[in-house]
Formats: sequence, structure tokens, C-alpha cells
Amino acid sequence: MSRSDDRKMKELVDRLVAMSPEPPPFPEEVSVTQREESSKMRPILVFAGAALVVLLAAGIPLLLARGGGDVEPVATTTSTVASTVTTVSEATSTTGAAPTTTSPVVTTTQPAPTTTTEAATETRGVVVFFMQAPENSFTGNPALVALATTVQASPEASDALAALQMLTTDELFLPDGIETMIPDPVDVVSVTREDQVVTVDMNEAFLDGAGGLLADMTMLNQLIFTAGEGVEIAEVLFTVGGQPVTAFGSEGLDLSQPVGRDAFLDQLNSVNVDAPVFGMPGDPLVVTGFANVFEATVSLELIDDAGEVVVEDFTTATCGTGCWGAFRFETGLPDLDNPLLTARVFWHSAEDGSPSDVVSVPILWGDDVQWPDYTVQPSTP
Amino acid sequence: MSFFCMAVTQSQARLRLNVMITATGVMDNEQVYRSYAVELTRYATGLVGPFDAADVVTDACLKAFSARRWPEVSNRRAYLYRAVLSVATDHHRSTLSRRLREMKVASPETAPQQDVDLDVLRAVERLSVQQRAAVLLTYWADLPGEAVADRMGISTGAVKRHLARARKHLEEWLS
Repeated sequence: MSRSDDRKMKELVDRLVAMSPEPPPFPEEVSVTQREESSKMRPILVFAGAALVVLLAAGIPLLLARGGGDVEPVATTTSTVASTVTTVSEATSTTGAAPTTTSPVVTTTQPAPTTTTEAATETRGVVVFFMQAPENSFTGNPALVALATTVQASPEASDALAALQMLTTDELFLPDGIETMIPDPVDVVSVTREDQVVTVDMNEAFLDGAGGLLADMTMLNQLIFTAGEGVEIAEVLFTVGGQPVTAFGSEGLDLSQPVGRDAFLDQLNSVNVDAPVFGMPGDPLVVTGFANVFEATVSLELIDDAGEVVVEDFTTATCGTGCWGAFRFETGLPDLDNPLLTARVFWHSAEDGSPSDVVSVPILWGDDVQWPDYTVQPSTP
Repeated sequence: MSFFCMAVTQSQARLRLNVMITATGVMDNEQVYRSYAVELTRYATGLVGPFDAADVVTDACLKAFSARRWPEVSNRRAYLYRAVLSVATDHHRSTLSRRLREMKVASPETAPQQDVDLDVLRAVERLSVQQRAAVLLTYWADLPGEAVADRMGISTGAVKRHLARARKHLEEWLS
């Protein structure tokens, strides 16, 4: 980048920003929102007032009967707590008697952090889905790409739990070209599977989403694809504290029913690659994914380290022009001195033939490539 | 009777506290908004163009102010920048292209009166929103790579990649 280019870039952004209109007025709806929130308190206060009257009605005769005294409010409180405990224990015993899957979720809420280093772990290969901003994007939607790595996981932890905990770990180091839309505070608490439904219990931060509808859906796509990896026809049910999620993210999406991989496809790039995964070699090289492109024609280029195209190919997805279809390429790896290639998957624009919605996956193989390992905890003891 | 008095006093105190929190929340948001509205609008102009910048800023601020974590956010400026970027990303990327096409076919009488620099808009048209954000934060806000990465919520490597791709798309402009 020369100094002249630097100056031109500054000139460009100055001219761009100079077109800025007057800032909009302070959004008054905020005040309305706040008032609505405060008005939500009113029924609670009315209820509290009514409860107070009932308490007094019941408490005053009691006070009179016992000859008065200031200890009664405490006695009343104790009585309430005792009845609550009774209700909970009844509910627990009922749950225990019924053949449901509730109890594993309940028991895995708080894994003990001290057991991490002491517990025996094993190296597990997992596939985790991240996002990529495609080149020459037609829609501006992110593409899903997969990353293969290993995690140190307890033998009891399922593959889905190991992969999801890696996906939501805060110390994630990502190679260039992939990003995550999952905010740091979001964590997976437990994963259970029954038939074809994988139930993923998340912490409360999950409910806030990722800060925007597209970001929210990208985050869900990452979680859904990762949770369902290697599981046939799996749907994912999200829960928080064991409860179904009825309002998620900025738009309050209802996630109370299981969602499949097709739930938010339209918020993805028109080309998505699930193999090769970042960091995974292969010979012959198999490139697979799903696309919704013009006439279902998907193109592949393998670019060497010098930027030269060494392999060119195209194929037809199982569906296209308005519907999603799967595609697959299989090609032998070229004989190269430098075993670093980039697979570019895209479709040719019907307008001008230019590569559109390009997804780039670096194919790295050899002993010098090291991906970070993570230690994850089991969801069940 | 002492219990009754105590309960009423607590209830009144809670009510007063709610009112105070509500009032403070509104005032804070308005102050925050007034502090950053101009720069956020300029940033949004760089991301989505001058036609939709105001809408993007309004949407972003509404979402930020109503977010549950907003009261705990320590760096509200950075949070609002990320909110603007997020809403701008949601905003369909083809909007700017469409507006430019509309301007092209519109008669001079019906064309928008707003001062627009068509050369610049056409130059940035091919950039993704993320690439525009990286360019703006680097060359307009003069932020170092780490700060750009923090404000965009991505890695410094990704920022470099966005900048490199943006420069590639802007080759014609740079030459």
C-alpha cells in the first residue's frame, strides 16, 4: 500500500462521509418503550397490593388470636417458602416417575470447573461451522463454512456437545477467512438427544441474540449446523434453563419448536461449502455443499499459493434458481511444490458472467499445520 | 400495624426507585444519542449511502437501547458502532445499487435533491458492508487495526482481509 493509495483512500472516505445527511431526531419510541416497560410493572404492583391486602386480612385475625407480635410476618414468609419447597419436591418426584428426558437436563446445569483438569479426556475430532463474508456477494448474506479441529473432551461428552462448546468458547482463535457471530457471553450448558431431535440448553445470554436479525440467524445457523453435524435428519430444540425459547434475539423469534438445517437457509449466501473443511486435507479432493444459484450451476477453482488457477470445474446442484440443492466435486490434487491451495466455489453471474457469492476455503495439509486444542467438559457426570 | 406500615414504605420506595431508574434510563439514552448521533450518521452513510443512513441509525439506536444488556454496556460508543454495522448488514446490500439505478432512470425533476457524489457511490458499490466498515474505521476514524477489529467484532486478520479486498475492488479508483 503506497502513500499515494493511502491518501486516495482517505479522500474517498472523506467524500463518502461528506454526503452524510443531518442526523435523525432522537427516536421517541425509546421513551415509549421505557414507559411500556414501566407500565408492565403496574400489574405486578397491583398484584402485590392485592396480595398485601389478602395477607393483612388473613394475618390480622391471626395476630389477634395469638395476642399480637412482630414475629408473624416472618412466620408468614416461612410458611410460603415451606409450601414452595413442597411443590417443587412433588414436581420432582412426579418427573422422576415419568419416563421423560427432563432429569438429565436438570442435572447438567452447573458442571464443576475444578474437575476439568483432573478428568480424563480424549482427543476428539469435531467439525464446527463458522461464517465467511463471501466475495462479490449478491445478497450480502454470510456463507457457512466448516472447520475441522480436535478438542480434548471427556469420554462421556457427546460429539455435539464437544463441538458446540468449542464453538462457544471465548478463547477461540480463528484463522483468517472465517468469523463467528456468536457473542462471547453465549455458552452451551448441555446437549441431549432423543430420536432425531438434539436439545441444546443454552445460558441466558443466548436470548439476547447476536445484535440484529441477520446476525441472529447466522448465529442460529452456526449452532444448528454444528449440533446436527454427523446426525442424520436432526432437528435442534433450543432451551434456556430447560425451558423452550419463545422470544430470541432482536426480533423475538419463536424457537419453541425444533428447527432443522433448512429453517434459516434464506439468510445464507447462495453458495455454502461443508467440505473441504478448513484444515482438512484430502486426495482426491472432495468439495461438497449446498447452493441456490442460477440454473443450479456451481463452479470450482483451485488456486495455488502464487494465485494461479490450477484446477477449474463446474457441476450441477440437485436444484437451483429458487430452490436449494446439494453439489459435489471430486478432483485429484495437483502435483505442487507448495501444498497450499484455496478452493473457490461460486456461480457465474447471469448478468456479466463474473464469479458471484464466492466462498474461499484454504486447503492446508502437511505436518506444519496446527490447530488449537480445547478442553471441554461433559454435560453428564 | 407496624407490618402494614413497613410494607407500604417498602412498596413506595420500590415505586420511587422504578421511577428513578426509568427517568435516568431515558435521560441517559438521549444524552448518549446526542453525543454520537452525528458520527454514527456519517458512519452509516459510509456503510449504506446517504439515502438510508438516518433509518439505519434510528433502527440501530432503538435496538441498542432496548437490548437487555444495554444498561451494563461500559463502552456505549463502541456498542452503538457495532449496532449500526449490524443493522447496515441486515439492510439489503442491493439497496444502494437500486437507488443508483432509480436515480439513473428518474427525470431531473423527480430525482432526489440531496447532494450525492455519484463517482464515490459507484466506487464503493462493489464493497460489502464489512469491507466498507473496515475502510471507514481505518481511513475515516483513523483507528488502529486492533480497535477496528474490536469495533467490528472480528479478528485483526479479518480486518486486514477486508481492507485488502476493498483495495482490490477500488483498484480503478486508486489508479
